[in-house]
Amino acid sequence: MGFTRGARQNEFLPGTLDMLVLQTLTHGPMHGYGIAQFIRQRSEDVLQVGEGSLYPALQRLQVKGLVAADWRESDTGRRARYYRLTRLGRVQLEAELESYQRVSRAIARVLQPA
Amino acid sequence: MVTRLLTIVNRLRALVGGRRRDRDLDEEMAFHIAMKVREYVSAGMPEHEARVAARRAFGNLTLAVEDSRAAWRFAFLESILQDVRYGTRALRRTPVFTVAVVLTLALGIGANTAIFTLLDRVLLGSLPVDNPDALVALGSRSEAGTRQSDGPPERDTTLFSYPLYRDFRQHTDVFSDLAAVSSFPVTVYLGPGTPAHGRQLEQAEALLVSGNLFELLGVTVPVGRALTPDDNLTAGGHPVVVLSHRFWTSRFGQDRKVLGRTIHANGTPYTIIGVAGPGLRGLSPGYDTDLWIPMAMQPQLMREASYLDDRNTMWLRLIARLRPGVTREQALARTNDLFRRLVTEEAGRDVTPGTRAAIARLATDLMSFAGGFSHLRERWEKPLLVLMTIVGLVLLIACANVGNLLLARAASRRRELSVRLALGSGRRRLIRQLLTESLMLAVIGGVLALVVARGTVQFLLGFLSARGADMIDTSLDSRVLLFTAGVTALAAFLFGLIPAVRATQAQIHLALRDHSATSAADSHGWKLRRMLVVFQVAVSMCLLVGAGLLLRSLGNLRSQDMGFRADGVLLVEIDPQGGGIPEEQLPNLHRELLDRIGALPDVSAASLSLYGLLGNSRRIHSVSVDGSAARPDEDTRAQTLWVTPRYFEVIGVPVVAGRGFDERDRDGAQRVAIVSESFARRFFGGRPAVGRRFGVDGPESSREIEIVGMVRDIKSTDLWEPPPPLFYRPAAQMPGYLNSIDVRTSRDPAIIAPQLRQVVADVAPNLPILDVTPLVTRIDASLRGERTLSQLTGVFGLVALLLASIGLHGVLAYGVARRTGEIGLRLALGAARRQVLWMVLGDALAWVGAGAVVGLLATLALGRLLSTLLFGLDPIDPITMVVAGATLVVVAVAAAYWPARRAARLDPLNALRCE
Repeated sequence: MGFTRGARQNEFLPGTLDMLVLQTLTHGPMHGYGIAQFIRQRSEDVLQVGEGSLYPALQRLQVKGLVAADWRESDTGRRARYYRLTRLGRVQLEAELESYQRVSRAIARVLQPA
Repeated sequence: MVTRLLTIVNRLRALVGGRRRDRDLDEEMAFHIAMKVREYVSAGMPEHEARVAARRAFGNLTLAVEDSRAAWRFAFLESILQDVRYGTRALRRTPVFTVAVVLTLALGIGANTAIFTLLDRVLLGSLPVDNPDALVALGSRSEAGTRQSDGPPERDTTLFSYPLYRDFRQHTDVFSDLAAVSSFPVTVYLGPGTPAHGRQLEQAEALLVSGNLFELLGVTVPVGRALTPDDNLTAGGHPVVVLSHRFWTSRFGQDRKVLGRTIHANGTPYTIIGVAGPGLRGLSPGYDTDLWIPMAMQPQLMREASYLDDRNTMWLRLIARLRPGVTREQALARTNDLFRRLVTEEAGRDVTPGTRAAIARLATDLMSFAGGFSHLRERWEKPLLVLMTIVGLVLLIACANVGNLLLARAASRRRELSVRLALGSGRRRLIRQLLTESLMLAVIGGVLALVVARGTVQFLLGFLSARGADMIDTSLDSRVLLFTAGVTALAAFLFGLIPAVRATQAQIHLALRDHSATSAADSHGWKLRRMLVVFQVAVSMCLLVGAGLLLRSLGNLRSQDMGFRADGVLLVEIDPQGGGIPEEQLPNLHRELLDRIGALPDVSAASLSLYGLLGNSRRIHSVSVDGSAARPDEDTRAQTLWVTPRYFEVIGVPVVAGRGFDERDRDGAQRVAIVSESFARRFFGGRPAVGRRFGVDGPESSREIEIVGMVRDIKSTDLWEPPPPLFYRPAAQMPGYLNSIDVRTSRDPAIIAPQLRQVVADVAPNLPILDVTPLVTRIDASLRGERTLSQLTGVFGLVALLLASIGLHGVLAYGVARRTGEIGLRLALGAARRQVLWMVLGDALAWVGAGAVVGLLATLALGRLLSTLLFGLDPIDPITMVVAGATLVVVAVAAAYWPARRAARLDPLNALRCE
């Protein structure tokens, strides 16, 4: 009963998604489609970001001041919004990377055979 | 941290340009889809298929757009705003309910706040002095130093003479200091020069104080300096004054250059040396002091001989500060020892065994002075507490009503809420919405309550103080405001939360299926609601009976036989002394005034007197009679009035024995008096008084006043007490100023007032006229407190009744709605419409009856408490109870009529279909 939210395919924890997006942008300014492509390719099709999650995430990052956006002409000739990392974004990314690595190391330790 | 700050800033900036952002988003998504299409096409899909696939792969576009937009908004705030908007709409859809709840809350909480404020000020407030709890006042009564002339010391242990005060101060060991005060009314002239012209004189209240008072109280003076013991060294040698803050504000506009200027009080110039602080309004709450004057100026201020060395005149209240470590009990014991010792010394060698015994019985008392001379407190403590109880009850009714109304409303919305729950609304969100509604009601009600409170405080002050409504600080206390806010919030929460939770409970399918409002869970609420109605009716009954009793008491007070005929009498208050008229001119002045006024066509009689009837001042002397019939412990004081011969004619008092005053009673002739009946009773038993002699002021005075007549008793000062023993003396035999012109007219007193003023102005242009009042107005003014109390109780009784009716109406309506199916069935089976009407009315009458009976029982139980407030009737008064009960029933039936009528008008088909 009722409408349920979430339960879309390949949904990420919002925190992880933000981190991936920020990391992607270290490679230079990109538009939304480009970011999704990048993540899919780099993860060899394992991580497929749904548009329903990507754009809201990009807006949130913008509100928080971690990315900045402007309109540019894309290589197809059509106008597109390009996102780039701000200095604050870089700082935040580093913090999140460190946190993520600490957690995954901890998990690895736990999973280690005795 | 930084991101949080940036989030807020960005969101604030995003309050503008929403449409642009939406367009950008749309364009962005379109671009994304276009890219996807290209991807599919380049992978070999035909274009139109690619487009469909791309769209599908994107997923829920609307949701994505919404979520994107949500990032830019203050989501929480917006949902609250949405709740408020929704709540406003819902409340506006049912205006009667909204108004009823808001008014109920406003009245209940506002009235309570007002009463609490007043009680706080009058009963609980302390003086703004240093360590008020260490202050005590000597004596057992609460007057603030009424000047009395007295002889034998055993009569009074509240007022002291100045020499006795000095002795006390010198010899006490339990008090760190002792001060003396006495209040006295003055006429004040503020203008330049001398008050020779008699205009611009106004009345004020002065306090004669010993030089150490300010120091004893521990108050500092913000402007100029306070009075010190150096201002009290020689009689008449210190014409200085400290103004009160209010006097300074209203008469001098807070001008700091006022120091050194002169004002005239009772004809003597005083130099202003300071202004007291704003908190120190006086030593008696409710009675402001305008001028603080050194005691050394007593002869000038009172325009009499000096009392400063007179051991026989008791006129001072003493205030003391306890030494640290001394308890009040210890201080009292030591003080009484000292008191007796000092009085024994005073009596000197003429100590008879009787006097010695009397001295041994002497005892004064120590009253807490933290709140000042609480004359107001004593007089009004009971009524105020009664009032507080009443208002508290009304508040309870109000809350009960609000609860009822909210419960009913929630019950009637169960279907709507169930539908919304079924459509997916979060339960918590729904509850929050309902709570917002009740909170809105509570806030509006609370704000209105403040307005009501403000107005009520102003209105109530009219009945507390003697001289106008602005005596007591009326600002609403912050504690009280908090109390109001607290009650409001509590009401909102309690009455909003419970129904909200209940109405959104999970058994939605039951609620949806169940079309009538009946449900098992509700019957518990139903019983509670009925009990609430009965309770409200009971309280209304109590209040109505109380109001009725007070009203009748007031009527009795007003219509009682006061001994004189008040209709047609006009009193003109004059102040020849204040106008600077020399004593030698007085006989001429008096004669001319009486001739000219008596000559006016509408005047039937005119006279002069000292202290008109029912004024604020009176003269009391102690009387000594040879072979007095008075018992040793009985009060041998009597009130005295100085009058010109036609006085009795003016006020309509018959002479019942001997004669009235006439030209024989001149200055220098035999000193005479006319006595009242109770005087004769007290001092002569049943024997005739005419021809007897008596003396005043002290057992050693000569009995040289001969009684030439006796008149009927009059209630000269207090309408409650029986007439006091009174003796009249002819004005011609008294050297001194008279201050009242008494006139009897055959026409409306208001018409001849200007004529009187004109005559006085003609005869003596510099004679100040302080006031011209009909005696009837004076009577009403003296009953102002009683009148206000009865009016208030009446108002609250009606308010309670109104609230009870609203409650009754609501519950009945709900009951009818509940029983719609049953009623339809009855009608369909052949019941007459009238039977249905009576069924509903019968319920209503049953509840009202139960409430009335409970209320009556409560009134009977509480009757004792009211008895001191009633004049001339018993608290258990059947007429009042019957009238109150009848009013109650009538109003209740009116309230019940509509739901009953609606029940009777039901269309049985519709009713059954609803089931």
